[in-house]
Amino acid sequence: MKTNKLLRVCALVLAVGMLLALSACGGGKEEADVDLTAVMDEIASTYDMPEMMTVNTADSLTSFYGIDPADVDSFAVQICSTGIDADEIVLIRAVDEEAATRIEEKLEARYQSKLNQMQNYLPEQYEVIAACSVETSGTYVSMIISPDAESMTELYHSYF
Amino acid sequence: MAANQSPRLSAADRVRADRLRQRRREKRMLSTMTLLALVFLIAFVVCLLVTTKIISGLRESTSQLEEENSQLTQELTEAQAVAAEAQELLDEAAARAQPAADGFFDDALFVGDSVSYRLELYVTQERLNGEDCLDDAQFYTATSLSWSNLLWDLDYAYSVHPSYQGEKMYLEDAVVASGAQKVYIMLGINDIVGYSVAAILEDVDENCSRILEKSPDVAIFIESVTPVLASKETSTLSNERIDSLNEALESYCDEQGFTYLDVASVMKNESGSLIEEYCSDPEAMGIHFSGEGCAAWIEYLEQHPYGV
Repeated sequence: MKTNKLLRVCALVLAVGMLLALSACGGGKEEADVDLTAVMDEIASTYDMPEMMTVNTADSLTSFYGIDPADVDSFAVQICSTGIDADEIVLIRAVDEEAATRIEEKLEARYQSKLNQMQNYLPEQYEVIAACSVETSGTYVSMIISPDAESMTELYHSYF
Repeated sequence: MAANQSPRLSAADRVRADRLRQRRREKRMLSTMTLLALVFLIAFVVCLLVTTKIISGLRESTSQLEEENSQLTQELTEAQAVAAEAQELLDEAAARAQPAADGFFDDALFVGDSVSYRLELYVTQERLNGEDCLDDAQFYTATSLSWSNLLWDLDYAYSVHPSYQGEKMYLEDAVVASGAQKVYIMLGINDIVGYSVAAILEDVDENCSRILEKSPDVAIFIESVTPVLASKETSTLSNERIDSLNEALESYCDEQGFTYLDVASVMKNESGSLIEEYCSDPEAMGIHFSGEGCAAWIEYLEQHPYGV
């Protein structure tokens, strides 16, 4: 009887322990709350970029990318205003992961469009774009196009 | 004896002779009367004919006069209509010569290559700064766009069709999607390096036809191709070739009833090349605009909405 009781207690403890472990694994750690404007400010102050335009209205997200403002929680966007440099930095936090997927599709379309436009026009800019990509992590979506994209992306990641 | 024979006429003979004379007189009188009656009759008939003729002539003249009067009235009415139409055209021409009114560009879609993409960025920046710039005009631009590659298939792997609000589409569909009533197109600098003017015009016509097929009521404004810096001219991209394309575009607009906007006229210096202060890439292609150049472009559009 004592052995049975002990076994039951052990099983209960084990089950509770497993439940706790499973819940820890399933819930994951909470997503970082990144101030995208701060990231953009640091990028702008760290790197020498061509003349850039800060896009800070949701309407502009629609006109440039076709992104639905309802999908966006926060964002920081800079587009090169010379019209001939490919530089473009887009950092967006979506309202949820489904919205992030929709935003990613829009940015992928923009990326492909820029790539095609530069391919037979400005080969150097084409190479810059080709070395960059659209990246999604949780609700965060980014498109960093710049000759310094690799280190800019590292800087961005350091905020998470 | 003979002298005695005459008085021998009997009274009866004398009476007979008198009657004979009387009859002769009566006959002469009757003949005369008949003759007179005939003369009067003939005169009457002649008079009648003449009078009828005169009346007929008068009637004819009256009819002719009435007809002439009717013609004159019609001509007068037509002349008045022509005068009214001419006045309307004069009023319209006067209105077209005025600067653009507020909201004129609200229903405009600007179509173009990297030169127009630069304008889009400039306008966006101005609006972000709180400035009113080209009203609510929208854009359909892409670097390397040309009259020629606008006609490529949309699903072609290297398609450079611009996106309208994030969706890649054909020009004619973008015109519909944007709800534009005025379509401003500046294209050609990417065509001139590889095609003849005649070949470019064929593509221009095809693109405009496609727009009008889906949006028959839109007004098409074709902007002249802007010049290149003198130091950046090449054998294929020269201001002389650009000018020849612009002349052809202007003629085409006249034929089709489109508006030709000679934006290039305010971008040129005395030698016909791009004003240096207006160029943002003097070390590169020498065709893109600085902020100052974009401002001059917009100023031209606002002051000459119909190119006059």
